[in-house]
Amino acid sequence: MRELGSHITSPTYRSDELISVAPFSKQGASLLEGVTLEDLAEDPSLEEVRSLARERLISAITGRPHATRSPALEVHSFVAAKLIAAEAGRSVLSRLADYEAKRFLRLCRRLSLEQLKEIASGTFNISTKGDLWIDLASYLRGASRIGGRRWRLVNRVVVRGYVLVDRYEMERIIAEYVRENVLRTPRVELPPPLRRIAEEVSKLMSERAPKGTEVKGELPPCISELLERVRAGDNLTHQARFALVSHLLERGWREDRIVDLFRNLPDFKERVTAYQVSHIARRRYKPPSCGTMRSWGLCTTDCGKRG
Amino acid sequence: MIANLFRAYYRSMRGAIYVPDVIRREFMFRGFDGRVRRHMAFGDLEELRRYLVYDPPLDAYYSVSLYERPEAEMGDKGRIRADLLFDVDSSDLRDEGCESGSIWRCKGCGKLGMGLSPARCPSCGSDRIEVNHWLNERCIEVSREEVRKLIEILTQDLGVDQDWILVTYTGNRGFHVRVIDGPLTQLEREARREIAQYVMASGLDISSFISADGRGFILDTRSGHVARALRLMRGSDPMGHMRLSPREKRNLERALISSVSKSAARIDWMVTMDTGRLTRVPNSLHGKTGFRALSLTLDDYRTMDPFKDAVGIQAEPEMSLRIKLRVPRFRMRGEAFGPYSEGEEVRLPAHAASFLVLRGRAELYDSGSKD
Repeated sequence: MRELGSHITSPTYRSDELISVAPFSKQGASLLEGVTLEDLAEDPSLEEVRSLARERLISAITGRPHATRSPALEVHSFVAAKLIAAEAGRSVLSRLADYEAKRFLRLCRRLSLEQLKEIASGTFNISTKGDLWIDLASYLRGASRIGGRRWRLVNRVVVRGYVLVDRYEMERIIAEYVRENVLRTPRVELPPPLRRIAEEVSKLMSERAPKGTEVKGELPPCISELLERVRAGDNLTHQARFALVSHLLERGWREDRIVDLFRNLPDFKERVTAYQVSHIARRRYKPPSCGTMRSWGLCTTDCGKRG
Repeated sequence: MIANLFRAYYRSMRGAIYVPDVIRREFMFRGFDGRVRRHMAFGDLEELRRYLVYDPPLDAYYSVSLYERPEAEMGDKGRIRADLLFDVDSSDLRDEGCESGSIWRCKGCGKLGMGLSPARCPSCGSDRIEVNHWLNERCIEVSREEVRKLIEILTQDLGVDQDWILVTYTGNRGFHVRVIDGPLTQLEREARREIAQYVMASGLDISSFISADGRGFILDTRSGHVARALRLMRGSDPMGHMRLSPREKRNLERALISSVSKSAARIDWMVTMDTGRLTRVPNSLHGKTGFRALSLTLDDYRTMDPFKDAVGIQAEPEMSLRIKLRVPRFRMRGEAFGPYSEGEEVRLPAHAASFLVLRGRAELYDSGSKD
């Protein structure tokens, strides 16, 4: 039987608050010692864990946060929810990733700067210095997924391989690592009780998924890749969303049909999406050219069209 | 004939061919017959060197990435990490002096011209313009300056250890700078794009480094770009922070923007971003010059002269050429040649002759040798 936390040897520091806020942390993982996948699925004393894992997943899909419980319960249900989401499919996993990242961001204000730094270095190998610098590679790993000018490396103070950040920016970057932590959950064979939850949330997800978004005719490869990613519930950058929307509008899609397409995204807000889509439509923005798409890093292959 | 000259080079200089982590790299070769071979892998350096002697290629490339299975198809290779590659090419720098010997031709109407190519053909307005670039000392001089700025940014700002930096002359009109070790070799495409844009100061917003307090504005001169720009403007190193009045802020912002554009390095960012890139094997010969893609130390590159130091082909034998496109005066290993005009027939030492043939400016018509 595989022990989920068997790689943790001796936790040197434990804080209840820290673990509840950061169930993904190294300190949190230490609470998994001795717990197997089978225990999570079948141990009657862990019924509460399964129930909270289910609650996490439903919250991730419906957008209502769960109330924080004891450290052990948070850690166990976090891990169980990840494994179930990996089984339930890409869009559920992507929702859970967004949910856990935002949950951390909401709650981490309770932590001291020292505790934050400890999570950064102990759990994610982010090296920090003074008040407050983080190593370049770690900064980029987190910040290159966040949109906006202030996050671009070129607009940061960078000295000898360290990037100057403030506390809030540090929190955002750690939240991106949390998102990545969830997204990278491997798919494993689940025992029936957990598989049943996976089926349930997968069904819930598909009930809420947009319908009637099939595309007729051939799309350029980069655009169809973006479309696939939206359908899978991937969190797209602002530029990627703009490229997709302007392109679909040009192909004659109605605005409400485009809004439906985005329902799958983890951070979907109907009002905001509808406004953005209609803004692009009203201004008649032209879809970005192949060259521009490339410069945004959106074309991994050939654009399939000239110019 | 030229293939034999390449073989002679690889036979005598095989020891200079060096690719770090050779067994993890993918190789690609373009043959003299134009055939391209991809997804090749070698068990060790010796095997690679033997291959180059046995079947000398016109161009030899290796992957910036290290793979679990370098010989597999693209999707199955399994990337371990990738060198962070910067390409400085004088063709992108659009320098008049460097382009003085270049010949452009409009594909629309056939018009020919010398020097820096226009964006559109002056006679028919077409933007389909092909260029036969020339290479001269000025091209190396302007590229060298970009390399200097790049290395400063890499070491001072980005914290790259000097021992991790590998500089090579491309064998043609520029340089490659590789970071071959350290945390930056683990980065994905997006993060590499951020590095490239940082190096170029592309998208830089000076206001990111200016904050306001009740009494005015403060410029954070710890930023490498800001500090270098100030140094360029004032000739001295700035200290920590600088206090500015609203008026000073406006003027300084404008001055900084123009100064930053001079102190940033001009590179081809698409190359830096691309972890699937193949790049020239150090010390192999370049198929458009016959010059060696010399690997250089952080001092060598400052003084390297390709027409002296990178000539890879021997002087013997003399070869007969017919000139196809005008050739400006050039020097090779201290000896001056040219200028030659179209249609002229000349006999030149092998290194100068191959240079002109490979650049597409001349053709062999009778080698005058039994080789």
